[in-house]
This record gives sequence, structure tokens and C-alpha cells, in this order.
Amino acid sequence: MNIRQAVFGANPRRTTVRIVVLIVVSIVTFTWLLVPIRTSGISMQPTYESGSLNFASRMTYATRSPRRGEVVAIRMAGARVLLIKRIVGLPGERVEIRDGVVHIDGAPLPEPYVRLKRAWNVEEVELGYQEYFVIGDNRSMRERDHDFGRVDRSRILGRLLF
Amino acid sequence: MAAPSRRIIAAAAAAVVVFLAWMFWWRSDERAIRRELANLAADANAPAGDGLGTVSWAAQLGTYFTEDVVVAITPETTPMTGRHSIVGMATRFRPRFAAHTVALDDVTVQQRAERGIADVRVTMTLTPSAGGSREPIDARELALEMKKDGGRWRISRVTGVDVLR
Repeated sequence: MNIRQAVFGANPRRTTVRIVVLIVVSIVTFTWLLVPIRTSGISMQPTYESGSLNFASRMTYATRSPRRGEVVAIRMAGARVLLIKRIVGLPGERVEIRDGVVHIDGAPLPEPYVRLKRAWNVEEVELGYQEYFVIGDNRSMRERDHDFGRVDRSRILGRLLF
Repeated sequence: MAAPSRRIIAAAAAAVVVFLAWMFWWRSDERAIRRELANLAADANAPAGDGLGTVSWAAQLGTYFTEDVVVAITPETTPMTGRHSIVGMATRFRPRFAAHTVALDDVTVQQRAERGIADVRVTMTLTPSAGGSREPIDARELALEMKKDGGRWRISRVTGVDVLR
């Protein structure tokens, strides 16, 4: 068996085609369909522990708008470093946090995914046409240590798969 | 036998053309800007030692900024102006710098019509360089204005971008 056979097998052409297809499928999948994510930080506990692995689907919002309760990946300057947050407010809604309870248009929002919470207070804001209100699940943190607020639709990269 | 040889030659020629095109693009101003930012992160993370070592390290960081640089990370804080402020701040906070690793990711470069000025977006992350945790403790998007100054791209303005408002 020569080196060429050892590397490319009995049918080099088929092997080459397989390698090319695999590379193309990988590039397409991880560039336009799924973004691999390793969670870092505690702001989404207990839903996502720091260090957990996940994928964000970039296709979910190609056909529909983001919905309340969905966990989304939010891009900063690019797709390498992302914020992971949950959508609680939708475009046009008024969002307020009173004693740790999120209120949408004046009504308290049930949030079963929040286990511990502090008495955060955030003045009411009205969301714009393309704005969503996002927040992490860990409300036991101090308010000033937790990044949350309004985000433009254009920054929402995709929905976390699981 | 002739046909496969021609195909191989054609593939090799195409690869050379792609390589040359890539080299041409990569030698552009954009490449120079990316290299400056990569070097800035590397120098910020470099060990400095004490005393003169710290001063020399801070002065080296200062060379990445223009003389009249303005740094306004958050709207609440007073902007820092001038290269000397950057050097002074770096010297003062050297122990904090040493405890963290700075990374500049997701660099996007947009050249202005005005020659020698570029708008750059970048995500800066800070990761503890010692201790158990190796996870970023802060990530922030920055908008940079860079100017070609003395043949080198330097940062003339740094503004924090509020991803969540």
C-alpha cells in the first residue's frame, strides 16, 4: 500500500468528494445555521450554568419574530462574543420592574424560570418598534451587576436550541 | 492522462490567483489596523515588572493612541483625553491590568471616504489571568476611531457602545 492509498483510500476521488462535502456542510452549518456557544457567567442561572455548551439557531427568526420567554443570543461587535438573555418585553410594550416583579403594560409577568430574586426596581420604559426587553434569569444578583434592558432586533442573532 | 494533468494545473493556477488576491487584500490598511489591535492586546497582556518596567510598558501602550485621544467608555464618567492620561492610567492601574487578560475580538473595519480615518468596532473581554476561573468577567463593545498618524494607525477615539440600554 502506497502513501496515496493510505491517505485517500482505495477510491481517492470519492474520498476527496466526501472531504469537500464535509467541509462545505460544516462551514454552512456553523456560519449560517447554528452558532456554538459556551456560556460564561452567572446571569442566566439556574437555567444555564457557567461553562455549559449550547447552540443558537440563526434560522429561527428568519421566518418569525422573537417571542416572549425565549432565550436568545445577542451579538456585540460580532458573533464571537455574545450575550445570552431571555426576552420579557416585546416591541411596543411598556416594561417595568417593581420589587423584583416584571410588569408588562401594568400586569405582572409570571416567570417560573426565576428561582431567586431581589427587589429590583426599574422605571417603566416603552419599547420601540424594533426593540425587545431582555434580562437574565438570575435575579438574585445586584441590579447594577446584571446587564439587562432594551435591545434592537438587529442584534438578536438567534434562539438557543435547548 | 492529459486531461487530469490540465485539471491539476488549472486548480493550481486558481489557487495561486486566490492566494495573490488574498495577499493583496491582507496587505491593505484593514490588515494594518487589525495587526495594530492584535499588538495592542498582546502588549497590554505582556509582563512588565516593577518600577521602570511599568513605566516603559505604559509608554508602549501609549504609542497605540494619538496625542489627542478621547476615551469615553460610559456616558456617566468624564471622558479621558490625551495620550498622557492613558499612560498615567495604565501606570496607576498596572496591578489590575496584570490580574487580567485583555482580548479584542470581532474586529470590523470601515474605512471612511476621508483618507486615513477608519471606524472600527470591537468586543473587548477581560478574563482573570490567575486563580481558578478562566471565564470572562466583562465584555464590552467599543467603537474606535483610528487615524493614520506618522504611517501608523492609532486610536483617536474610544466610545463604549450600549448593547442593552
